[in-house]
Amino acid sequence: MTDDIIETPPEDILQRFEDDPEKADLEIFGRTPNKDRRGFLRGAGLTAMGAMLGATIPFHRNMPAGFVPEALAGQSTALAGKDGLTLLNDRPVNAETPPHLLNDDVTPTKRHFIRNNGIPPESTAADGWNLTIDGLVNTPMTLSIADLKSKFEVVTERLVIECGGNGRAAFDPPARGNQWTLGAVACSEWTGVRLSDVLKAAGVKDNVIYTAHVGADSHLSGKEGKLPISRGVPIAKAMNPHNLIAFGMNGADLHPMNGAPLRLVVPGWPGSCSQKWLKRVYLRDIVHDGPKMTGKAYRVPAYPVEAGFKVPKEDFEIIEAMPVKSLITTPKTGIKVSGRSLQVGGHAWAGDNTVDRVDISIDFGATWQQANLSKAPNLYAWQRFEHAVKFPMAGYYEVWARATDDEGRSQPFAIAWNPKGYLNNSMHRVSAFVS
Amino acid sequence: MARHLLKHIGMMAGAGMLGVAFATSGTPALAEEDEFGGSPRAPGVEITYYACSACHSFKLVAQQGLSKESWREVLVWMVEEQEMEPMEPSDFLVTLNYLTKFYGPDRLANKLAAKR
Repeated sequence: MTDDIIETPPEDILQRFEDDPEKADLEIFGRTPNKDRRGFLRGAGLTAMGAMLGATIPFHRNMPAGFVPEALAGQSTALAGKDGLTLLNDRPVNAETPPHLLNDDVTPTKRHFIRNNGIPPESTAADGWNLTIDGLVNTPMTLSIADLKSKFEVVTERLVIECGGNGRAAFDPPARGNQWTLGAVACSEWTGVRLSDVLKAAGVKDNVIYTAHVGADSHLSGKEGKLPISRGVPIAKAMNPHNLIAFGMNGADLHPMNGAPLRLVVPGWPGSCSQKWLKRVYLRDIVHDGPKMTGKAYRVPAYPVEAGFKVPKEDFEIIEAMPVKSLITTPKTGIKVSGRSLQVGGHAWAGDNTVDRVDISIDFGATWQQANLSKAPNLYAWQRFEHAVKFPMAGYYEVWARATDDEGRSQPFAIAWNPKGYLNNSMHRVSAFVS
Repeated sequence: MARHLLKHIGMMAGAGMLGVAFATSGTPALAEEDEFGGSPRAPGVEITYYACSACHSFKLVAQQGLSKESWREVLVWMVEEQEMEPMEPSDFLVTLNYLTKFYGPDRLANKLAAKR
C-alpha cells in the first residue's frame, strides 16, 4: 500500500485533488476526515501522508479535508501548465525558457516565462474581478472584466514582454537577483482592451505625469497590505495604443502565473511595467514611487561605468524602452552538423522601435551576412529572421546574431555592465560542430 | 500560517521547506544533503538558511555571487524594506560571513556541489 502511494506521480495527485478533493483524500492517502471536516478520522491516512512528507504532522488534527500539504503540492505545481522551462526559484516561482523552445512566432502559453515578485493571489477567477481606475481622473471607475469587454474595443496583438533582468547571469562581477540567462522573453498573442481607451474614458487630468499599477499579489513576508511591486510608466507611454489590459492569452484565459485573470501588457519596456493580476491603475502628478520604482530597482546608471563601479544612488535612472536584441531559436546550441550548411532562425525585437536588419556571423564577428527579416504583424511583436549559413570546412563554429534597430543601434558584443544587471542585449551565439 | 492554507491547487505559491523524495527513491525520508536547500554544512548554515527561506526559496540565494559589501547591503535592505526579522549583531555577522564565503563572486557553494 505505502509503496503504491509513493509511486503516485505528483501531477496526478494534484489533478485528482482538483477534480474531487475528498475522494482524492480517501484514495491517495486513505484519509477520512472527522465530522468537522478536519483531521483524520481514527487516524486513517495520517501515516500515509506522513510517509510521503518524510515527517510526522504534529498539528494533524487541524488539517482541513481535501488539503494537499504544501511540501507536496508546491514541488509539482510550480510549473503546472508549463513545458520545458528552467526553474530559477520556486518560492516565488521564477522560470525561464531555453532559447530553442522559443522558436514559435507566437510563444505558446506553456513556453512563456514566469517572473514573480510576490505571492500570487489565491483566487484568479474572472467572476467578481474588478479593476479600479482612479487617482487624477475626471471620473473614477470600477470595471468588471465583462464591463471591459462590452464598453471598449477588444483587440488582439502579438506583444513582446521581456524581463528587465534578462541576461543578468552573464554579469561579472555578478549582479544580485534572479540569474536569468536568455529566456525571460516571450511574444504571445494577447487579447484585451487598450489601456489608452480606458484612461480616456476616465478622463486624464492635465497635471498627470505618471501611472501607478497595483496587482493582487502579496508581499513575500506575508505582511498584510504590503505590496511586492507597484510600477508605472510616464503618461505618454501609457497612452500608446499597443498597451493592453489583457484578459486573453493565445486565444484562452491567462495562465495563473502569467497574471490571470487580468494583467497589463506594456510591450517594449521592462516586464515589470506589465503588472500581473491587475486590480488598480491610478494616475499621479509625480513619478510613481511604489515598490521597485525607487532605489536601484529597474534603474541603470545615467552614464557608462566600468564593471564593479559603485554608482551613487542619485545617479540611477529609471529604465524605459528595452534595447534592440535578437535570439537564435534554431538550432539549439551545440548542434552537430554533418554536411556544410545549416538553417539558422530566430526572433529580433527593439523596445519601442522596429528592427531594420539582422546579420549573422560564423567567424567570431569578422564578417557578417544579412539574414532575411520578416516584418512584424503589428508593432511590438518580434520579427522572424532566417538565414542559411555555409561552413567552409569541418570544425567548431559559433553562429552569432546581431540585430540593428531603425535608428541604427546594434547589439554590442560586450555587456554594458550596471550594478543591478539589467538590459543585457549582447549578441546571442550558438555553437555548431561541423563534421 | 494563513498563506500556507492554499485553497486553489493550481495556485500554490511554491515548494515547502521539506525536500521530499518522490518515485525515484521509493524512500520518503529527508535527503540529508537537502536539509538546508543543498547549502554547504558549515558554521552559520542553519541561521542563514532559516533567515532567508522564511520568505523565499533558498534557490534565490544559491544563484547569487555577491561581495561581502553587497551581501551586507542585501541583508540591511531585507530588514529595512522587506520585513525580515532584525538579527542579533552576532547572528548578522555569522550570516554575512556564511553568505560571503559560499555565495561570493567565486560561488564556492557551486564548486563544492560539483565535486559531490
